[in-house]
Amino acid sequence: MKSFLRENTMIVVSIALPLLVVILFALASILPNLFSSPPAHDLLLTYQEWVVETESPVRVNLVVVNDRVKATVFKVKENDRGSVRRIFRYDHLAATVSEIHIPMPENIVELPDGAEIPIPELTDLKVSNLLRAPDGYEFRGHEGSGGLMRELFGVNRSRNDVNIANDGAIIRVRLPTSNYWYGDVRFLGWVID
Amino acid sequence: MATRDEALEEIVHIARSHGLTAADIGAAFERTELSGEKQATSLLGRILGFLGGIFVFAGLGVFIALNWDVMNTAARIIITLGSGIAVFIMALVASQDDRYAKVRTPLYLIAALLQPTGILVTIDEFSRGGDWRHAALLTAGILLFQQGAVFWKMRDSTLLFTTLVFGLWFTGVALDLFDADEEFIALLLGASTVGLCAGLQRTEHRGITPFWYFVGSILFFYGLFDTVQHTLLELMFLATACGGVFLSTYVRSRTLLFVCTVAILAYISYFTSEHFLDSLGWPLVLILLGLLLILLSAGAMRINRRYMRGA
Repeated sequence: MKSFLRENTMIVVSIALPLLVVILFALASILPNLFSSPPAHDLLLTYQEWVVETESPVRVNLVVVNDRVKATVFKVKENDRGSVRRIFRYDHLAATVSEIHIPMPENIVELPDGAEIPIPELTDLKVSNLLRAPDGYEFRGHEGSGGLMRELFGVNRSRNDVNIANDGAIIRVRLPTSNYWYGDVRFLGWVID
Repeated sequence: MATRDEALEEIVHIARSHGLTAADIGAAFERTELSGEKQATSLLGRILGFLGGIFVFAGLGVFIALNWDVMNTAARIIITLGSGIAVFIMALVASQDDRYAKVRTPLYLIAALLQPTGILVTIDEFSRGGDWRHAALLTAGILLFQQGAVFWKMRDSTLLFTTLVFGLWFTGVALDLFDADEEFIALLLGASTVGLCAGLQRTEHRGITPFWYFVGSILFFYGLFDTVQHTLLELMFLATACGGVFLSTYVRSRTLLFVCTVAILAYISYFTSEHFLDSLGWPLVLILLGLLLILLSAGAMRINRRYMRGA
């Protein structure tokens, strides 16, 4: 056995070293997830979908003011690029993402610019717009890095995926729009109550 | 006839520099004829080795690209730097065993791609901003030392190739840190690369010179043109390119000859568009000048054959 190993060092090294890298990589990827607690808060995300022509007469702005989500509407101007604003909620217990409907009042055309519209599913929620949630998880968004490899191998389509991370544990949040190469996902806030 | 004589002259020079006798060369000829089949197998092995290397690199690259976002710091460093070091060790082990000679080059090249990527990823993960040139200098410096030291021990041409890559990278970034002009950096790196190639031409590492003649001469002419453009010395570019043609015949490099020819043609085209756009006389002057040079070349060859070859 010893003489075989000595005579075939290259084969031994060629098997052992990649195996060692794989084991270390697996440990580095798995261990933080085992030792860190799962997320304790839901995550709210906004998604701006670019369309050729929008049917809505208004565009919706979403911001967090005094721990509440505030939705305001502005009339679409002639030169405005068409876009549709959507809201997604990441459920930390089920690890699923669902869309929150933004209801438009019937008199939407009559409302002045900056008028607030209620979104029933968000009205009672206390939301923090800090990137780091109280449980330590931080919104990391979609990183643009991995650049050379991404460009070289053309793996750029899942630009709408985002990540949340805490002490090396990273959770990918896939949106229903993940397979679109266009659109813009933004952080809105963590649901803290 | 001249080409045959040149070839014989080169064979004699190589034989003398390596201490080979006519008997050694004769024996090698016999071996070559007998081992035609073995050579085909060797070529196939080399091709498969390179293809294997490309597939390994592609697989690793796709994996990194797909999962980069969900990798933490440790995973990112292990998959890039860890893989690079592992491949480099495999290449070192392969260097000790002639049975794996064919996989040595692909392994060294993959390691030379992955290791600097890994070091840059490590710096990126732990740094808090700063000048990217410091990271590049550190990476190039580490790799220059590693590849240079291993080349010194192994004398492998692939390692000399990668040492040159990191040497040029290191020098370029260092000069940039000292606020040297881009043209000056290109000029200096290009000239030193061509000079180094001329030095390597008569060594066992001459296999890497065509690539470096190409890179070095392009860098040199780029730097030179940007330096002398719109100055009194502008015609020096043409003179240097002509000198490059002379150098290419001296060092017997077709690559250098090609780049110098392109440089001459490009300069003439540039000069025409700048000064003689609507002139009929200029193309005629060029044609006459060209014919004169061809006549001179024929004359020079005759002089060489009649008076110099016997000397």
